Amino acid sequence: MITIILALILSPLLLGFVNQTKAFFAGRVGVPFTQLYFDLFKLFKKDFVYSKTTTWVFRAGPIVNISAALIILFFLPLSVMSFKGDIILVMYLLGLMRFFTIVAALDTGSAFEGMGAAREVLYAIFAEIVVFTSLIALVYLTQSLSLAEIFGKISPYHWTHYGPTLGLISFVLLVILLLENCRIPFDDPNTHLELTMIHEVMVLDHGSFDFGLIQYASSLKLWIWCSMLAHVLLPISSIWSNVVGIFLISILVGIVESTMARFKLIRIPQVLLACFALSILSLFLMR
Amino acid sequence: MNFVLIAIFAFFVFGVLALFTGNQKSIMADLIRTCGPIGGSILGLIPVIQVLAGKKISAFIMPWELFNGSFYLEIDLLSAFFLLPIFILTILASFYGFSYLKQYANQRNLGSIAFFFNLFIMSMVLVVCAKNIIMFLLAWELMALTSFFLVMFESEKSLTKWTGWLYMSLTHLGTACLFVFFFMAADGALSFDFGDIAISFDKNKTSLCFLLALIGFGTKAGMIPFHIWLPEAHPAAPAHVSAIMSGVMIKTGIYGILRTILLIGVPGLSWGIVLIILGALSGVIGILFALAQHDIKRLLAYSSVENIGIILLGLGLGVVGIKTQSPVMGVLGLAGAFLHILNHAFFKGLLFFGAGSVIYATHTNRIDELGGILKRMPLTGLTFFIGSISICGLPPFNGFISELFIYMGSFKEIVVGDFDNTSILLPIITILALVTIGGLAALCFTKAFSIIFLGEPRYKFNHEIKESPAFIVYPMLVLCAICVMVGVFPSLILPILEEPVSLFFSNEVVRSTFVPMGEMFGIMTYVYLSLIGFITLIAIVRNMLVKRRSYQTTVTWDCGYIRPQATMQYTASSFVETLVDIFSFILRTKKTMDKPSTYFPLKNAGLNTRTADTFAQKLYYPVYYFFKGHMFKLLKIQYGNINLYMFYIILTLVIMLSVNLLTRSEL
Repeated sequence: MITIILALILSPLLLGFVNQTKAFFAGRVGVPFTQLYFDLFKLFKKDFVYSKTTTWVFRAGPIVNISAALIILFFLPLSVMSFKGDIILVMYLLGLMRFFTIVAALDTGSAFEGMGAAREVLYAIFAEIVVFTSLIALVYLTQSLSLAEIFGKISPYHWTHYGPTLGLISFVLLVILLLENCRIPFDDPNTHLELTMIHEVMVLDHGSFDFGLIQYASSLKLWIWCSMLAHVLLPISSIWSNVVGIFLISILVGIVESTMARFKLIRIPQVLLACFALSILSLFLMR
Repeated sequence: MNFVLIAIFAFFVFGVLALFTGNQKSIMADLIRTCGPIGGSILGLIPVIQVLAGKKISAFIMPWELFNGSFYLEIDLLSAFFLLPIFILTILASFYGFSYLKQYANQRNLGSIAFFFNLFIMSMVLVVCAKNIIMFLLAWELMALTSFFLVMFESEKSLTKWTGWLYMSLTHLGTACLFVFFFMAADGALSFDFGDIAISFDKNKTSLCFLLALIGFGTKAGMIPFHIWLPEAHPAAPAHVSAIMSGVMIKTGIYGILRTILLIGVPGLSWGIVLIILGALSGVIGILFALAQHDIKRLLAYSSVENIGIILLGLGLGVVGIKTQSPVMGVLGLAGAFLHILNHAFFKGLLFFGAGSVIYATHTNRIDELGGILKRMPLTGLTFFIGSISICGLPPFNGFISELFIYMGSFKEIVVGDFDNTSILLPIITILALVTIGGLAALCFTKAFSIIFLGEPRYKFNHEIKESPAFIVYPMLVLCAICVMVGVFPSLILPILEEPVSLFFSNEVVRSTFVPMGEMFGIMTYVYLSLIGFITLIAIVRNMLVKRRSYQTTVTWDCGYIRPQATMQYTASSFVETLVDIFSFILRTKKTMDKPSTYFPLKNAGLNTRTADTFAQKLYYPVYYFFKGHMFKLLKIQYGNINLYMFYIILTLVIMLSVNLLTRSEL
């Protein structure tokens, strides 16, 4: 239970950590750690404006997104629920979130949002393949089928015996984390040019309460991915070490963002295919 | 059994009666055209449910010299399982067709369409119930012929003629393989009844027989590379017929493969591998071609190839599971295949109905001419949306459950598996194929749904677009409800799967594998209910806020345009463009571009993409044209001269006689 509460309360802070790290590297003061809380508070107070083109699909998008994210929190390691095979359910709930974001974006009839939607769904195809390949390795290593155990059962023993495999998987998961949460080098949430965006451009038309939900859902999503990766990198089965790990990873994300440039969009499928090759290699290293 | 006999009889009688109604518009004529399939199917469902509930129903056997055995109809578990979607979809399609065909009342002979429809349903029922080779092949042929006439619905179009020809020839290529297969299998048997063949089958012939059966039945199922008739034939038929063809007719191919396994025994491990590879190929290539299409029904037809691929993956796991003594993987794979057969019938039926409804309202099937019709056709849109999510295999709808079975089968094998053994590759391939298919399907169906239903209308129609009549909408709502029910309460479907899977595995194994699945489904129901609960709760909060605050509508922001145009939207081509480019080595999409010329272009610029079937272009047509070219040489012996033909006949007779005499004398 405590994991869920921590996630609900602390997840907006993660973005603060990322931004502060970036500000540190750039030599700026940066926005406060708690900026996203203010943003959310302000968004939830705003009035509603909708495009005439949109239908219920546009309004359903954010709601389904946040609901699915909340459900996924139940299944995190050391959380409340777990059953054999929930990993597939969780991965497909992430797919459901994406599906709704995409149709909501296309509901506006905007060229830019169509562009973002087309990119999002395309990269997701490659990302999902990579994720499932790494899951195959993790399922085999931990001999379990639930998300809580796949990530929670990884112990120092696994690192000593299957170090190369786990190393590759951590790297690949980090790449997917960056992609799924629209960070540099895949997507730049701060760019001022809609043409180059992926995720941010899909939510251009959302505002007020809906946009607040989207922001909160994406911070939860970042928390979820960080938590999974933290369990691999810090193989100690405790809530607090996991939280520390999550924030360390957010700093790592900030470092990556500060030291790398965004990839050309056309390169992204190639990078993901390279990751696929690496995750296949991790399977071979397990023998 | 009596009920099914009555149903078959009803299909036939009402079919013939419908022929006489012609184009009459009286209520009586309408009744005759529609009540046969509806009444027959409702009657037929009774024994089907009895058999699935575990009751044995005696067969209908009548010795008949013509069949070299008997007129043998029986509903065993496998038949009952396939009859279930046939009957359910037929009932709904009949209601749908009643309303849908009204638009053609002045142009076409509705009586003859009803006749072929009735006979088509009858032939499918016969195919899955027949337990004699000759009966089976007769029914199989009748199914091909009646569906051919339904495909030739708009026979004045030259494209339809070509389609019909393609369908006919490919179906018969498949049937030819079946003839050889069946008579090879029956060699040395007491009679042509299935029971006798199973007893005396020579196990040495298993591989060759299975190959022939796989090609023959695979052609009907639309397995790659035998699929090329499917994307041509399904769009040509009226929507409710496409729904039946795609939802259940192609499943008779899967039925054939399963029946073959029961008849000649489980083929070797290598055939399991072949099934998995064919499944992965059909799935991935099918959905790739689907997402490059611009015609709704062609897109759906290609997606049927994909779903057959998923079913084959499950079947392959089943065969591998039997052969490598890993029953858990086999049971779950097979259960997934069985469930996907049902699920695909439901959501593909739903999507074809939805596509038909859109075509009914707009008179176009080109995705790029549509847009923004969700507001005008809310129910069609909603059901198509749910169908799209289901077919992508996303929770909480039914497509996810069947994919989950296959995933679980593979993952459980990986847990107990050994990475030093190459057979571990099979579950890995299955998982990766399923994931790829899932991702591509999401692209395909976000495109289909969004471009058709969302955004602004791309084309101004001269007529008002409004929701289709009740008889078109209600069948979609029913199918939609089934998709949701199976998805949210999957434990309900487990008992239906248990018996068919037990045909291939022992009862205890199946039960012990299904118990944890049942527990899992129980938890999943709660998860889904809480998901739906969260959604409702947040929606209520939002609606309360909306009431309290100001609420404005304006144009789409679109980075500051004051007057966004419909032409600025993403189109079906642009949405999938990057992916189509990546896979251009297999899709070979042709682009024709009208570039804007001069600084002030007067002409409209445009881009057109067209994706023809690569297998047809590169594999089938060259062979066809080769033969077509060389066939002219045959003209030398076929001169059109009657005297010459008489001579051929006599020559043949003489040769046959002499061969006969020579062989006799040796004895």
